[in-house]
Amino acid sequence: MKKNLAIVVVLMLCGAMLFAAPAKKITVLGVWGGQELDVFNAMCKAFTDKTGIQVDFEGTRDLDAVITTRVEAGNPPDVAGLTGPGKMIELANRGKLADLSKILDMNAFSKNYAQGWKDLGSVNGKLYGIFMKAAVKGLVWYNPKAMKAAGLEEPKNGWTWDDMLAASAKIQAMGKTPWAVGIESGSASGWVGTDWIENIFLRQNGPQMYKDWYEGKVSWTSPEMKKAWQTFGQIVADPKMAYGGAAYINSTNFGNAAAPLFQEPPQAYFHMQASFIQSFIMNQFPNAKPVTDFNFVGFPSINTKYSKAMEVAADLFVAFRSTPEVKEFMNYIASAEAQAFWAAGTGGLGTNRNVALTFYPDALTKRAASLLNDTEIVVFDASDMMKPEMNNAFWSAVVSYVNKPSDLDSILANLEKVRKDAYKN
Amino acid sequence: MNSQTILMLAVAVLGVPLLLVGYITLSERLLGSAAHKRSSSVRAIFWIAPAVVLLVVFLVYPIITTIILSLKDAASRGYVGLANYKYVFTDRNMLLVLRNNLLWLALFTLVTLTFGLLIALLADRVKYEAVAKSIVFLPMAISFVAAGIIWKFMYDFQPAGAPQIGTVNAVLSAVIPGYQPQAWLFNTATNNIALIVVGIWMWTGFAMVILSAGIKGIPTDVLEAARIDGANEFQIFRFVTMPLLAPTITVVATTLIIDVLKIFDIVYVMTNGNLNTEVIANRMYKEMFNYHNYGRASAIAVILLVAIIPVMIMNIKRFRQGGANA
Amino acid sequence: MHKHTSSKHPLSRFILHLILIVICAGWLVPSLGLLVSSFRPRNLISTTGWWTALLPPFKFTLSNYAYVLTRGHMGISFINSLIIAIPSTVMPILIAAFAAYAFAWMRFPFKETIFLVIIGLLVVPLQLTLIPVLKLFNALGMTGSFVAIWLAHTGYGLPFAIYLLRNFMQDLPGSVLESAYLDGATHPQIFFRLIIPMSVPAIASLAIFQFMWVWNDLLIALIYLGGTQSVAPMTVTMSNMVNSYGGGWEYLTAAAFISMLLPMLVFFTLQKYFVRGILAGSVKG
Repeated sequence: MKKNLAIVVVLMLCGAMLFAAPAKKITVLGVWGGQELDVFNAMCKAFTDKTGIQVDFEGTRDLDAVITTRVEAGNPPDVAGLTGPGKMIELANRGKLADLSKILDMNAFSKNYAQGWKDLGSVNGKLYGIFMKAAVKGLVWYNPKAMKAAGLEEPKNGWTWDDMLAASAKIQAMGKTPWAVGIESGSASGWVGTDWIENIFLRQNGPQMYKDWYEGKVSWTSPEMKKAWQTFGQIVADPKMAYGGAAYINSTNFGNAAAPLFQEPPQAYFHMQASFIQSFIMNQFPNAKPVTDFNFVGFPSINTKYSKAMEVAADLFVAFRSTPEVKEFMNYIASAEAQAFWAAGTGGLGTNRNVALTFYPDALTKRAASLLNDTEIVVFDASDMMKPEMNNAFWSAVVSYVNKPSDLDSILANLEKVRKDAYKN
Repeated sequence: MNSQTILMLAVAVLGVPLLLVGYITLSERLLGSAAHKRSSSVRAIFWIAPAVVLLVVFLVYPIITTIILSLKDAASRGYVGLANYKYVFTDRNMLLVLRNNLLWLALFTLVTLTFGLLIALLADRVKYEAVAKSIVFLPMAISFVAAGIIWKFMYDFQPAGAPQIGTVNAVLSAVIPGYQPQAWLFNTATNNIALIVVGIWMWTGFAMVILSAGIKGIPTDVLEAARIDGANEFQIFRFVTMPLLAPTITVVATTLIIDVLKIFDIVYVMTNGNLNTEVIANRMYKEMFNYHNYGRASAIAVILLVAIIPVMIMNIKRFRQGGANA
Repeated sequence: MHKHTSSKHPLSRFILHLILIVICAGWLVPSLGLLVSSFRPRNLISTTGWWTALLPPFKFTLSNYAYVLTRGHMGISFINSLIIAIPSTVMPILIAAFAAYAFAWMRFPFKETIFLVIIGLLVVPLQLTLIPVLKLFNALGMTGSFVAIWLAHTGYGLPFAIYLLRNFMQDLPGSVLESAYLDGATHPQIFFRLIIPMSVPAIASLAIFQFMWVWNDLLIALIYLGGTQSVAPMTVTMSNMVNSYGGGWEYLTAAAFISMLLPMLVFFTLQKYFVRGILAGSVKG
């Protein structure tokens, strides 16, 4: 009697495991959550309505762990949304990604995307990644009303580092600190500082050396690198320059770091951050209006030769398989229609040229978008392009530097060690 | 939610226990006629078989693959002998990591065990026992991510003069005149201790629950007899309660020690190992999932496995003192 | 439920209460902070201490809870969490109880070695097992099924379960079991009629922990089951309330409390099994 029961049970379990899946669907793995996820779902719903292919999304903040495990174990998702090209390059080099030039409509793609985006998404000439939801980095945000009230001049586009130092000196003379910086960010703490150093390095040394840097060809102990860090130190190593000093910088989450600009009375006047900080500001200060209460200018230029440079970052889609469903999805992602969802919903900037400016929710985002479309020298966030261990070490190094700037030499030596180890092949 | 899932759930919750009961009964029937002495060993094999099978599949087999991987290079292509182990013991950053684990081991285990025991003993004697135990147990029911949020706020730092948002800084500002707020998590002198405090807050409930079960197992007549004989509370605790609790304390201590060796989530969520707070499990996670250096990640794991040998030795003694066999 | 009757001296009772209440208050403060914060809007949480909400003006809001509860698939996620957690609690306890009894009361070769190995398995970090086990599941086509995750949680929970139960069972009065055996009882009978009832406090502790660990698990569900809406447990759905920049963490304060209700309920319910005196008077003669 018991034996029969056992057999029945085993058969039932087998039946349950062989549950047939519906046809025509793809799985997408990504880091998006909250409102971004709503936007993604809206974008996918339009896709499903058009093609009948269902999109099953799996979200995780632990993207590295999940992707690594599933790729190694042999069941990767159909499509994944990555946060930077570094991971894409690694996966492509291990032969895990589908060559997109074989499944995309390359004519349309070449027309819609600047060569820069195509290059960034390619490894050894083959296209693997489609970028969307871009952000412009290195913008300096300020509160126009606060500056006017303090009798300060608003920074102008094209201002120089010396202009910035002069303005900061004026603010210091008033007894306030000019800059608000916050670099805490959970497991990625320090990335804000890396943005600072990247923008400084870019404007001191130009795009070619910048590229060499993220490809692991520049020594961290070189004089150019040290100079970039020390320039960064002019802001963070001086307690009179940055609000709250080292303790505040390291312990304040980047999303809250602009708050001192909007307090009564303001505790700081400048904040360097990417275009996406806008949503954080508006969330925390619901009465703040773009342009009147907060505005931005570009990063101050250092060497006039490189003044028209801009750093960007973007999420990207890669594919692990080239089934017909994946093909349709990737073509859809690359279209202006899909990217308009991101633009309208999150203020992320479209990388497809044809995303009309009308989709952007306000004047500031529009301005960021047109900056992106018009700029001459566009480079990608260097740390996102580096190998993961280099990237991680860079983040940690910034945290250590802010904590103790006098340790710079040993910090750089350590980074150099990691570089030699990571790029030895 | 479809009927198929409900069916599966029913099968799992009802069917599997029935299956197991049937399995044991069946095995007993098979053994029925055999001689007493020999059948004891065979019987035992039946009883431990389901557990052993699952343990081998889910835990032992991965260990074996890990040991093999630890002898290979980063991408698991060729053998590199003990190079990965050499790295772990000589790299300056790794040595710092090992130091942190030792700090956790000493502080966390001792304090958690002590508090767990104290609360279990005290709560046993009051009417509001269930409430007290629930309050201390609550942190265990909170996910690590939420705990990370709570404590980030507890430790929040605002510059001197600005209103403090963090509970710790606020309380200390109110109590100590001229107090300078501290960035607890970001000061290398305090951050490890700060994280260990979070760990203690979360895990004391664990120790308390098990110790409480152990305390309930002490028959009251033994304690009454001691009391009648004139012993005071401290004497009863030292000479009656503690010896009877020794096995339970061993279990709790062993589990805490082993768990603290692989402590991960708290550090991951709060600082991710920055500013000298990194622990072994974080390092292993980074090497495995971020840097894809499987060789090093595996070597770190194997070192963890070896590190518990002293703990096992402690348990051998305890094992030998155990009860008689049927 | 018998209470441990200590000396009724008022001063020692007072000290007892004082110490316990101070400890409990200290333990409660962080949780209380989270609870209060869950009723506050985001911009207030990050700019003022949570205790300020307890003074006028009271600016409370239910928006965090509303967001969490109306996210659409919270109901399905809750059911999924139950589907994952209940078998993952029942199975390891039963399988471990069999093994623990064998380790405690049977004699067989290599018993000590095998048991020590099982204790040793407590240290295996989960992340190590993910890739090999997932490869196995993929080969068997089990990935994405609930069966896979039940087996996985059972396997991961066994070392601690066996350790705890064996230690507890070992200390049960041997004379009771001896007399039952002499009276002709078989091992299954002794197991189900004596051992299990006498081990109830240990089983209750185990049930609380295992249920709670499985209930709060995120990574294993993501990897073996997948994070798609139809199978995702509450932990996955809640983590998706936070966007890739970390924004939306205020919803996690509310989510934490909603998610905590069931484990705490399990804890409360199982409290009644933490009774003393189960063994008192059970020794004959």
